[in-house]
Amino acid sequence: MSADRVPTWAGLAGRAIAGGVFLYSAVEKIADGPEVFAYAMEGFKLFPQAALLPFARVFPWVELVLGLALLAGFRTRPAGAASAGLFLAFTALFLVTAARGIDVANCGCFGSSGPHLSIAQAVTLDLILAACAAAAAAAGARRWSLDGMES
Amino acid sequence: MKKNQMVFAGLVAVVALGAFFALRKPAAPKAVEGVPAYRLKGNPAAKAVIVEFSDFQCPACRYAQEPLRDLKAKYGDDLLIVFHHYPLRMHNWAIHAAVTAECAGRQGKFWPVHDRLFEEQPVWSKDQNATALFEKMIEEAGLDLKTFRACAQGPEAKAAVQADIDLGNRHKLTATPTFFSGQLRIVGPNQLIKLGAQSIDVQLQ
Repeated sequence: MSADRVPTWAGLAGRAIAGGVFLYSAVEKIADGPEVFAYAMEGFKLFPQAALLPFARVFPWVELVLGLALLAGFRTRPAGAASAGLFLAFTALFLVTAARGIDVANCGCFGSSGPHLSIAQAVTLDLILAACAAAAAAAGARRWSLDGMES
Repeated sequence: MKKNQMVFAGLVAVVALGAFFALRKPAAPKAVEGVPAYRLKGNPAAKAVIVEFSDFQCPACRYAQEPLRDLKAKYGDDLLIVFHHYPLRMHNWAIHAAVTAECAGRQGKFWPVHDRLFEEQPVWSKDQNATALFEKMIEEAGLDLKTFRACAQGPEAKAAVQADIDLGNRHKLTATPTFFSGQLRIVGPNQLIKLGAQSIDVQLQ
């Protein structure tokens, strides 16, 4: 999609929504601690046990950096593209989990204190967020962004 | 480094440091902090302690009992297990079950009733009148039913359960079962299997 076809407001809204959700999700997971996020990931029965805690230690910080990059408009295109990719990967994870008949009461998306989403709710949310992140990537940095700052 | 890179690096550093310090979890609860003796399993002077926060209606807490028993068998008198109630609101019989165990403890049979509550969880958790099953357990444990009923209906056992919930909340518990082994926080039976023995070995060093 050409950047010209994406209105400035759509790029800004995409950055704010996808970035805000990533930041909120990261803070909730950091607050919970890696053990709780690793425990939520166990429910998907897809990942090796040995990988869960190391992954749970690192992933919230990736979300935090991506969330801040989108909100601040820093490296907006790669940050938006990476975020859209992650949201699509989450969608795929939830669909595979549902197809395997695994019932996950809480997707673990927002830690244990945040909203507990069912698979269907999580898929819907992630598709919307992927679209927001894609809009941010397509629009690139315009107003209110560090990318637009004079270097 | 360009100006925008410096601003972003500063932003990440401020938010990351803020998140790290503001959201840091408190230390593990003191091993026998206000815990009645009947909720201790093992030697109170043991070098290694596992503090457990559990909900009798939580299936993962039930699965965690086997690895916990295995650890106790392996370490014997070197390991003390301290039980705290942490009944979750989403489980309709969890508080009743906690009060049942608490009242059994006051008659000296906390652990036998604790074990039966977990063993028979799949049955009573789906029952419309689980309290009748709890009373049956109490009778079969050889306890006085009248004393049990007075305890279960009175304020003290409920207050003890609530005190444990408050303690768990102060330590920012968000899931059950949660264990503290030394300063290590362990959530769920699989983490207990993976990290339990290792964390006890660290305490025993």
